[in-house]
Order: sequence, then structure tokens, then C-alpha cells
Amino acid sequence: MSTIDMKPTLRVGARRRPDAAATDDGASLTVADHRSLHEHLLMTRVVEERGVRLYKQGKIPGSFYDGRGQEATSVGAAFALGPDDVISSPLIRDLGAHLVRGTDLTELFRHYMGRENALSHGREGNIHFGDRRLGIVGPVSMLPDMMVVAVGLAMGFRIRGERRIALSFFGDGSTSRGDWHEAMNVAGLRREPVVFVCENNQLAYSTPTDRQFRVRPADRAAGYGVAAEVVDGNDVVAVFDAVGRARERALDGGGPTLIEAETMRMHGHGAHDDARYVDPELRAAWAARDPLDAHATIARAHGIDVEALRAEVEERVAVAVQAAAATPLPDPASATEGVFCVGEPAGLGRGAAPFSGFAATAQGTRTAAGPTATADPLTAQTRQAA
Amino acid sequence: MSSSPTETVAGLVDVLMPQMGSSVSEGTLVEWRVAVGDRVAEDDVICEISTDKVDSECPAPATGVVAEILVEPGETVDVGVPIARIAGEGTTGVVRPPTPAAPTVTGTPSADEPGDGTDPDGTPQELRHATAGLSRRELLRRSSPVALRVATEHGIDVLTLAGSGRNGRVTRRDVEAAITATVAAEGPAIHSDSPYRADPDVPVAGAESRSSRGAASPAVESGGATPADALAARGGAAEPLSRMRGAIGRAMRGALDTAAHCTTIVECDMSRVERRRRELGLTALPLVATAVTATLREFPALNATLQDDTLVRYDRVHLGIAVSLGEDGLIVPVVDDAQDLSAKGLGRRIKDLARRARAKQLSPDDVRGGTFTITNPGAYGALIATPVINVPQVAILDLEAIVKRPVVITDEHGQDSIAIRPMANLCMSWDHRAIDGVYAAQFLTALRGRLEGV
Amino acid sequence: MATLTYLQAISDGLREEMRADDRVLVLGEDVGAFGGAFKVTDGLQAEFGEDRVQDTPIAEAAIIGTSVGAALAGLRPVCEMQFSDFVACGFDQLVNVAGKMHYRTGLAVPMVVRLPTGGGFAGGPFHSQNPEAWFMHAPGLKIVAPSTPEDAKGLLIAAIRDPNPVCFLEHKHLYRRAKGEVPDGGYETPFTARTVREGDALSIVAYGAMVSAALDAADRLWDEDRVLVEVLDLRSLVPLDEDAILATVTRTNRVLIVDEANATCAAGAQVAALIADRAFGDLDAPVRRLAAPDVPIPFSPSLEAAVLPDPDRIVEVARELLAY
Repeated sequence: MSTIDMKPTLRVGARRRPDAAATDDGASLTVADHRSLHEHLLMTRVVEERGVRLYKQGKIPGSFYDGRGQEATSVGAAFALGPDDVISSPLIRDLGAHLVRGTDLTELFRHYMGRENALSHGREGNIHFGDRRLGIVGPVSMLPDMMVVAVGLAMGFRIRGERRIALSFFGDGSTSRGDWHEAMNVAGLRREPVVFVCENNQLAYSTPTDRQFRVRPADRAAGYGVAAEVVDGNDVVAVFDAVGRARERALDGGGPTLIEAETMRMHGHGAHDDARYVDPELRAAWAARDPLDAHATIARAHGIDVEALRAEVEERVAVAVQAAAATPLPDPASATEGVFCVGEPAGLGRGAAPFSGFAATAQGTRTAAGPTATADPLTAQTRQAA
Repeated sequence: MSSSPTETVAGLVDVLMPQMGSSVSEGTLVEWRVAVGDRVAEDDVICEISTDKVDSECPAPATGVVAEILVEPGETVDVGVPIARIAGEGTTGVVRPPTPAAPTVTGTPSADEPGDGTDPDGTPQELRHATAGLSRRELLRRSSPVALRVATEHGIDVLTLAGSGRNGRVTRRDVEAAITATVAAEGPAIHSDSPYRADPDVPVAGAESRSSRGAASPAVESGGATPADALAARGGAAEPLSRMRGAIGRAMRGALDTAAHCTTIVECDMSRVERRRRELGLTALPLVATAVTATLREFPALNATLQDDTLVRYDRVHLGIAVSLGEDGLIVPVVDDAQDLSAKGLGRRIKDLARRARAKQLSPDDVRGGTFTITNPGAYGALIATPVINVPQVAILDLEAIVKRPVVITDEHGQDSIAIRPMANLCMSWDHRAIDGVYAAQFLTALRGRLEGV
Repeated sequence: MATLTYLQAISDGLREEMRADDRVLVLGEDVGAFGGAFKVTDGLQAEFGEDRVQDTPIAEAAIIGTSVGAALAGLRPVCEMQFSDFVACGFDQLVNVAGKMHYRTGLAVPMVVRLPTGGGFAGGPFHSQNPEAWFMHAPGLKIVAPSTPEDAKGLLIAAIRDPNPVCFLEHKHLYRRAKGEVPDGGYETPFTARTVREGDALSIVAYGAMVSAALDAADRLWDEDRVLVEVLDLRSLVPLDEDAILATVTRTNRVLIVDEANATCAAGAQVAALIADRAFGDLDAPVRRLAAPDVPIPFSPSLEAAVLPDPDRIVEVARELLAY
């Protein structure tokens, strides 16, 4: 049925960890970092499992999408970002990125359930949201529109001399559209400080990659003057490292990087899709490489009680669902409000940056004019490690 | 909207057919995993459903006892329909959606807004009751919305007003004129010197000044002693002639008694007129009228009036245009100084006079002083007629229908062939007291030459 | 106060605002060294540098999409579509990303898309369009369309300062034909309609290049028919100045709406609908519309003239309306 080669082979032109000497396989990660990574992986999965149930119970209207199997990519990539970096945008498999940036669980479930909430005020649903206060621009359904917007954000940072980057998530399916080309071309042309994270999850809805393109995305990057790296998208530490390197390159004026994270969408496109078109053998093979299981081994090795962590996460999710369900639906009279901005525009805020390397600046203050252009702690730390 | 579960009577929670995909409108119940009376915990799978997109297990929305099963396996129901009820014991606080109030759409006043005495369109509500027996729709057919509103505000019945708009529609100007005018005792706002009354100033030979109004109608008189019921038995109904019909009748009889009527007819190829009128977006009439005006200046004895053995020739052309008012009759408003107007300008004037004629808004000046008249029954398909001269004028031209006919044409080599051409008859009645047949024929031939462009 | 062309007034407004606010940047095809296809941005790169006046690849989605990003990063981008026709290539970024952003996420997108519009110069089907109705139908985008040099400068400055995405329709026919006094310095023209001429018999509602056509027609109707026609210049299509439209209906009771754009669902259709909805009781005659028929704008001058509304046609329809 499916002819996908799931072995993460290195193709011509795509580089795999080109400067592996820069880090030592997550050596910069502390035990607390591993605990945080695992907590966010678990949180992503528990929230989505709960979401699917709520959807089937009719408590979440519309549709529901999850990213089972891809948690490591979104969590690992977001974990490498500093507080002033901007994600434009997480896509439908990237709940983990929202959670790493600090998205509030109760607001999240209110949003899913169409209740009054601070994220979308009911104007959006499912995974279509982004907490601007945390430096996240919400996605649109047209792919990969937000990749172009990320390039514009990066351009703004560069022009204003701000030491921050923009990161954009998208999938293999997105690389077929013209906006992908325009974003890659302009980013490469201007060497904008932007990181593109391509989640190659083998499927664009039901269409496998061999029916989408002849040349894989990472191999196409060279044609745009964009650095590229293929990484195991189910390995949270590998993704963290790769994005960290790409971020460093961008901050140093080295321009954009395309990271092609190889992974597998383990559920249907949405809760309404049982993905019967996927080869069961392929699915089984990827199931054996579950990103949570893989990182649980590392976490346990660091002495982290994974089961206790899971129980804690489940409790927090249950409390959030309870609170969300008790929240009223938005006032119908508000449906026509907010189409236009009136008065001073509200901007993007700072996100949580739980990686221990950012602890210094995360405590710091920021002026209204924008982030201070001080030396970046991740850069400092990784240089030290080198 | 959403298929959020609704809490029904105290403690009963509906299990709804879930919406599995935005386009999915129904689902089929495949199997129940629980029975009435079973205890279920929230999130326990209680049934299996199938849609055209997906097969899925359904978790219980609440903890409790299955109170009712409403849909049997194999049954297909719409999304959002309750399929079971659970007697709950502490659910996750399902909130009933607010009463469905439509979102307020900007700019549309909601029905329950405090009334200011007007409809949403600003029309006073009392308009609805202003004119007994006539629907608002009917009123709006006969007057413009603003005319109706202003009239009602001033207590005026729009239907009593003469409308100056298209098809006699009452416009704001008409209402404002009625408001400012001193209300005449007679009421209806037809001018006292209206040309639609017998007007002694209009020189109509043989016209008598007595009014026929109130007198026994000629029909009844000529019918002798036939009693009304006998007439009715034969399907007849007697009614006196209108004032206008009476006046027209006397004028026509007088003209025939006075002028020495002769009629001359020429046939004219209207190809060029047809082409020009399409270019200019006009009817044929203004183009013919322009040609008539120009030709009359070469034949001044036809642009004339004859009274008491005195022939008055005019060097300016004041062109009468006969306008049919349907059954009411006919009126001939005059375009003064037609020689100064282009075909387009003449067309506009004719249109304006015709409109005002039909709206009964002509003033006496509009119908006085004509020197030549054109009538155009051809528009209704007639081919030949012998019109009655509008005395004291000495001629009247009748433009008949333009119809395609086979005609013999001769090319520059003298070769004859048959062609299809739009042809029309120009029929002119003229007063033999003023001119002779040769003059009439010469005039018509010259006119034809002008129209054919030779 | 200087006498400027419409085009010079736009350049002047851009330069003023770039001097006053270092967040303002210009990007588009050939806008830098070359100064733009119509020379609106001539000299700006020399004054403000390559970061603030950027030549872009031929990539409308990238121009609009990166402008959205730059706006989110705190800048005030003014991007140029070389011809408004080409905005179709960036439609998705404008309609789905920029237009819906604030409603969905609370993030404002302060940016301007300059759209050289309109026909009348044998530009043919891809260089003559008036695409405003596409965007009127898309919530979250403001749309302005100046008809004079003074308004061109004031509306552009107001658009740059507005915290929302604004489509700025600049009519190519007016670029070098419209001249007028333009105040010095930075000033904002409000997004409201303007009564260009007062009258009592009929109102002509128009915007952009059709305002001058309406004024020509109004002159003729006075000279030939002694009829006083009111002319209302909408200036802004979103927001639409409903009060001004309803007020002119109240004054004259007869309305002719002129669009240069294709007739179906054009801006004028919205004006007509508004009047039908809210001013029915003020009408003395049906609301009439004059617009281009629903055809691509043809190339040959005779065909183009047959399609675009002109003063003759306005006079003709106005007379029909006056006689109603």
C-alpha cells in the first residue's frame, strides 16, 4: 500500500548535524530540563487524548486535530527558543510548542470547547489559536502562509537590530505550495534570521510524500541558499539541538535554516479520520519509536519519576477541563466585535523559555521598545560547551 | 452550532450523536456497549457509531446510570440528536448554551428597540392606516416613497394629486407643490385653465362654448327613447362623453367642415433613418421631425395658418406633435422654434411634452401656436391614413409604420435588382384652399430626399 | 501649500511619514533604485536606504506576507503592488492572514497595500482592474480611494497611522492629470465621505476617478438643464460613511451611483443596498447605478471607452432619473 521509506536516510544535499561538534547530544540539558521536556511531552499527549474524548462526547464542537507521534518535534523545537523569539506559527500537530511557551491549560480547554476564553474569545477553535502575549502568532489554515509571515517578522528583527529569531512550523504538504517557494527564496536572499521546521510526517492528509514531490524538502533548500538539516523528529533532544544550532546561525547573521524532522502522524488528519489508508506495517514500525517512550528512558536514567509526572499532568488537565466546562459560551453580541483594531495595537509578548540556558534573561525585564540586544545565553552556553 | 451536551431535567445528561467532521450531518448507531440501568463512568466507551467518514467509539459524557437508550443499533440519526440519557451524579458542569439570540448585526435596528414611530425604513407607521382600502404596495406604485411619506405627514392623500413622474407617479415635487398651493375649493389639483378642459383661447373652428357636461349624452339622445333598462338588456351602457372627447369631436368636425381636405402619399426608404436613430439612441420620430422642419423652410406655404381668407406664413417652425392619451383622447403639444433644435434636442423635447401630456401637466401655452403638425400612429402599426388637419394650420403629416418591403433598386450601371428595405408611407393631408397638389407633392418628395439622404 | 499632481502628493505623503516615523518602510517590485513603475517612490531609497525602501523579487505573496510579519514585529510597512491587478497573487496573505488576524488573535496588523488601479489608458485586462470589491467582501481590511491630490496625501498618512491593514487605491488615470493644492507637512484625512458639490435635484455618489467624471456631468447638467446635482466622494469604502450617504439621499431624494469597477457586487451595489435598506422613505425614484459591465477591461480604445462610465453616460442616466 504505502511505499514510504521510513528509514531516516541522509539524502544528497541534506546535511545531518553538519556541526555536531557544537553540541554534545543535549549535553547542555540539565536534569531539570529533561524533567521539563518530559512534562511537556506528557502534557501534549494527555491534553490531546482528553480533547479527542471531549470531541466524541460532543463537548468540543467543530473538529479536533491532534499530533500524536509528533510531540517531540514541537516540544523540542520550542524548547530551543528564547523568550523574545516568535513562533509564526505552530501548526495543527504542534500543541507542544504552545505548551512550552506557557499557554494556560484552562484557557486552552475553554478555547477547544468554544467557551469564552482569552486565547480566541470563541472566534477560533481546535488548534487554530496563538497566545500573542507569549510571542505566538496564531496559524491560518492556508499552508504555509505563516512561513512568509515568519520571514517578515525576521526581517523586522534584522532591520531593527534585535537579537531574536522567528520560527515557523509546517509539514511536508506545505512544501508544494507557492508560498513555500516565496518564503524560502526571500529568506535565503536576505539571509533573514528565521528557522523553518518542516515536520515530514509522511502524509498530507491522506497523500503520501511520494505522491507530493520528487525531491525532499531538505534537498531543495540548497537551491534557495538556505541551510538544511535532517533530524529524527521523534527524538526530542535531537530536535532541540538542531533548532538550537539553527537559531545560533540565524543570530550570528548566517541566515535561515530548514530543519526537516522525520516523523509520523500516528492518528488521522483529525478526529473524524480513522486513517484507514495508512499501511498498518508502517504504522506499527513507527509505533515502536514512540517519542514519549524514547524520552522516558532518558528521563528515568536521570532519576525522574515518569509515572508520578504523568499523574501530576493528568490531574492538572482534569482540573482545567472542569474549569473550562463551567465557563459560559461567549456572549452572542460580541460576534461582531474586534474585526478592526481601535486605538493602540497590542503587540507580541514574551513567551516562557523553560530551557535552563535562558533562566538569566527570563527573569530580566524588557523595555517597551523591544528586547534588549544583550548576548544570548544559549549562544554563550553552547559556545562554552564547545 | 455545537453539539454540546445539554443538561435536561434535573441530573439527566443527554448523550448526543457526535459530529465527526464538519461536513458530517448524521451518524448510525452500530452497537451499544451498555444497557439501561448500567453504571457508567465518564469517558467509558458506551457505544460505537459509524458515519460516512469514520467509525468511532463514543465515551460517556458523564458518570451515572444509563437512564434511557433512545436510538437502537442500525438507526441513523442527525448529529446532535440525543441517543441516550444518563442520570448523572456530578458531571463536568455542562453549561446550557444561552438562549439563541441572533447576533446583533450592525446597523439593523432590532425589533424590540424602543419605537420612534417609524418603520425601519423611516416610514411613519401611520402610513399603514392612512389610506383605507389601498395597500401600501398599491400606494407605492402610484407615488414615490418620499412623496408618500411627506404627503402623509401633511395629511394629504397622494391619490388626489396629479403625478409628474413616469406614468403619472406622484413625486416629492408634486406633494410640495400641493402643500404650498392654496387649496382650491374644487379640490383636485388640475389647473383651472387646463388644456384638458374646453379652452376658448384655443382657436378651434366651429367649437361651441357650451359645456357638454351635465347635458344628456349624445349617445342617449341619438338612441331616441330607448330606456336605460332596454339598453342594458342589449348589453349596452350609456355614459356621457368626457369633456376632452367632446372638445376633440367638435374640433375635428369643425376642421372637416372648414378645410378642403386632400391627402397625398409618398413612399420613403427609411434605411438611413433607421441607421441614424440606432446611432443616436432615438426613435424615428425626432429624425423625421427634424427633416420636416428643414423642408418646411423651403415650402413656407405649408408652414402656415389660414383664417378668414388670410394665409399667414411663418419663417420659424412651431411643430405640433400629436400625443395619444389612450381612450381619453388626443392632444397636440407644440415644440416652439423646432428649427433651432438638433434631432437629439427635438427628441428630448418630444419626450418631455409627451410625458407631461400623459401626466396632464401641460399648460395652455404648451398647446398654442402650432404652424404644422406631425402625427405618428405608425408606431401602432398602421400603414396608410388620411389625417384631419389641425386647423387653422394648413397641413398635417402622418408618419406610418416602417415595414420591410421588397423594392426595386437601380445601381449606377442602370441594373435593376430587388432589395429588402425598411419602407414607410408619408401621408400628408393639406388644405386645398391654401395650396395645390403639385406643391404638396414637391414638398413630400423633398422631404423624402432628405430622409433618404440623397 | 504647493500645487502637486496626485502622484506627487502620494510621494510627498510617503516621504513625510518616513521622515516622521522610522518604523515606516516601503517594499515592492522596482520601488528602490528605479523609483517604482510610476515613480511614486522616486528618490526614497537614496534618502532612506535599502532596508527602508526594499526592492523585492516578483513575489506578491512574499511582499504582502512579509509586510504582515514586519507589522507584527512593530514596523509600519507600506507595500506596493506594481499594478493592483497583481494583488490577486497575494490575495491569500491579505484576505486570510492580514484581514482576519485581529479578530482571531487580537494582534493588530498596521500595514498599507498601495494599489495602482483603474483603466482608461489601453492597459487591457491585466493592468486596468479595480479590485476593491474583492477586499470589501473580506472582513478586517480598510479600503480608501482618494480622488484629489490633497486627499491622496492625507488618506495615505492616515492609512499608515491606522493600526489595521489598509488597501490604498490610487487611480492611475489621476496620477498626472489631477493637480491641486496640497498642504505641507503631515496631516490626516479622515476615512469619511466628502460632499464635493451641493445640489438639490439629484445626488451622484462616486469615488476615485469617477468623482471627476461626476463633476463634469454635474457641470453639463447645470449648463444645459439648469439642474443642481450634488456630488458625494466616498473617499473610504471600508469603513463606508453611511451617515453621509443617507444625508445626501435626504437632501435630493434621487441617487445615481457610479463605479468604474465591474458592476456585480461592486462598492456601488453596497451603497445602493444601504439606501434601499435605510432610506427607502426618502426616495423619489429608484436608485440607479452606472458601472462597467461584467467584462474584463478590453484593450482597444474604442472597446475600453464602450465599457468605462464617462460624463456623457452619467448625464444620460441622470436625465432619465430626473425625469422619473
